[in-house]
Amino acid sequence: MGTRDADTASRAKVVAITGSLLGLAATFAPAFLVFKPNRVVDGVSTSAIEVFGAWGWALVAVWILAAVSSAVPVPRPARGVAVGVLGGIGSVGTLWLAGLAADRYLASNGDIARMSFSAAVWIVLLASYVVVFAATAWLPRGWPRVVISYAPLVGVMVLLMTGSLSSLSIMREYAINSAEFWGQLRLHLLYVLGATSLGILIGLPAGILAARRPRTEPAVFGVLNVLNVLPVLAFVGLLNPVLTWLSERIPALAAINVRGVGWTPVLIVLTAYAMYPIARNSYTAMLTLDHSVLDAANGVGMGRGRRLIDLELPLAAPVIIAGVRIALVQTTAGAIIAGLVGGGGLGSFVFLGASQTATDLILMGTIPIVVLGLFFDRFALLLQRAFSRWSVTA
Amino acid sequence: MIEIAGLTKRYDDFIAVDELDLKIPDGQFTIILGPSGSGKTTVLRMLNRMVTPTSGTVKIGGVDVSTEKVEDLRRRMGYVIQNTGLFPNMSVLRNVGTVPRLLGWERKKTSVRAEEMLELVGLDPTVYGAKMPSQLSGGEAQRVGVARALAADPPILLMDEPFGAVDPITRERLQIEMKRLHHQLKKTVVFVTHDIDEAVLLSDKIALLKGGVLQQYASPEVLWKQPANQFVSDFFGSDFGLRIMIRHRLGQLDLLPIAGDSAGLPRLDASATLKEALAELVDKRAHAVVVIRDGAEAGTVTFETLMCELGREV
Repeated sequence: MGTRDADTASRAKVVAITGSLLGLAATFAPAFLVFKPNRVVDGVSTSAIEVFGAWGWALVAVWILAAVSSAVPVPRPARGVAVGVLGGIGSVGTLWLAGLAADRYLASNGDIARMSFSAAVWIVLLASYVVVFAATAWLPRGWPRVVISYAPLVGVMVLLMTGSLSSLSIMREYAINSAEFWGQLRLHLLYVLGATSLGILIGLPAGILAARRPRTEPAVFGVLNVLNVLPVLAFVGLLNPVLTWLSERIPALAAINVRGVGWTPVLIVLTAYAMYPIARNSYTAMLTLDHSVLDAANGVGMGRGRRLIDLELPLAAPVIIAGVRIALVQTTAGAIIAGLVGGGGLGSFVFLGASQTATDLILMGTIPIVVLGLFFDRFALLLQRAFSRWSVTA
Repeated sequence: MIEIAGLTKRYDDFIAVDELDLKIPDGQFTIILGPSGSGKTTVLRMLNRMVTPTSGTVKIGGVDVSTEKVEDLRRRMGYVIQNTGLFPNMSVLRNVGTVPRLLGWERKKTSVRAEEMLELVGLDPTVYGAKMPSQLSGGEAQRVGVARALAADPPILLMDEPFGAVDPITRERLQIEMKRLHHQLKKTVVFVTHDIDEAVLLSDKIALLKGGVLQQYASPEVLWKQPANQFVSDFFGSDFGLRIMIRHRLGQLDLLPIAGDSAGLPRLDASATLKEALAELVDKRAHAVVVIRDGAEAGTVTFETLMCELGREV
């Protein structure tokens, strides 16, 4: 136990120093911010030091301090706090300074000017994440860890809400498209939640069936495997004639906008992908239930339905939810495809941005997808833990 | 009365149980004993239809069990297995209340009953009621298993090597507790084990199986003195008599009057077993043990008295 802790702490040191040096290098990198007179023309890349001046050197100092505090033998919690806070300042400070620089640039060049991030800014954010993550290893479990790891996120939220970032190119894109943004976000969420719900509705019974009746297993997973390995565009392409044919012949389907493109193929494809991990995990969970528990349930005269509801599903829940978790994260990313086949969602910004080589438009679609994915991942993890509470040991 | 007639279970070419006939009177503690693979568990599981017999019948109170709805049958028979089979997602109290709940008892009545059952098996409901099975020791979990089996007051209790997975000290304590429970509740118990000492201690009658065939069905005393065949005497071994001594207590014996000075003799309570008395005689190298009944010296027993008791007709 003690040695394992020591191991983790010494590995954390290597990780934290690596992260700090990465942040330092990125701050000196030539391609930090890009200045463009307007959205389409090529811009001028500049380093952080050039743009931020003295503040740039302050950032350099932050990264050096983070590396030094990781290396010197300070007591663990103090080191964790110091490195964690410095790592957070590294990213939040960079974003804040970039916001100010954008304000100045737009003030002198007009609203159609764009200042956007170059690779180095993203590397700084990555470096900050690495450093903060490493620092949590030196912190006691519970609220100190939570505070230090979420503080940078709160910092970014504050910058967003106070408008400190509103002159950045990506935020300009958002300002122009904000009404559409929320509509597409909502649609994206509907795809994710709809497909996952349908995935549970079909995948869970399918997994249970395969576990209960071994003879059905090849058929069930045969179908699911094929659906799961079909490339998404091929899948949509195959559905297109079928759906078109259906909607031409059945007016009720046409009335709810079932067509070869649009929401229908997207929902079907996403559901097919969501079913697989849910069915697979349900199957495994049901097969690995403790045999003596089921034997006892039969022995006391518990009926099949009662046994499923009271015993098998609750005991299998953590593993089944783990499958739902995969499905949620996977469909969050997968729903981008809707943007390509006229189904809307955040993917529409991504593909529009790609066609116009407007990186910031792509990011406006991508960043919320990443955030949503992380959120769903966390949420499902908490759910998973809540459902495994019975396994507490004394 | 459980009447087993011509009970047979075949798996393809393998005969697990062969033409078993057995009559188990109400209230009897019956041990099904035998080496592993002798079909003990299969017999037990055919009683509550966890295993379907190939042929033969099981009647309980004159009714053929195969004519009943299987859930109803099982709810009338307590069932305890080696790995406890406690439901890990339910509290101890909820586990114990399982059968009453299945029978549709009121919530209040069920929880009162579950608490009583925990007390009956020696667990304080205020301490253990809210615990989860993963928080229990092996012995505690097995007690909860017994409490769950008894909760709906079934006339019959089926136990499949219930104490096989606990440590020897806990096992002995559970065995003594089980014996007390049987005296108190007068259930018909069918108990599978391969442990001879356990069988000798608990049983009214032992059914000894070998390769699915019943060798002998009798009390340990009869098995010892009138073994039906060579397998029976070999199975119990030459120390069978010594093992049987734990079934008899000093209180049952005709005591000899105390002759002369008893001050130097070892003393034992009337509730001590013959085995303990013998151990005392050997340990102290004494010729007699003074028996204490209600705090007063009641008489003495000698090695000859012990032998006389064991030699009595069965």
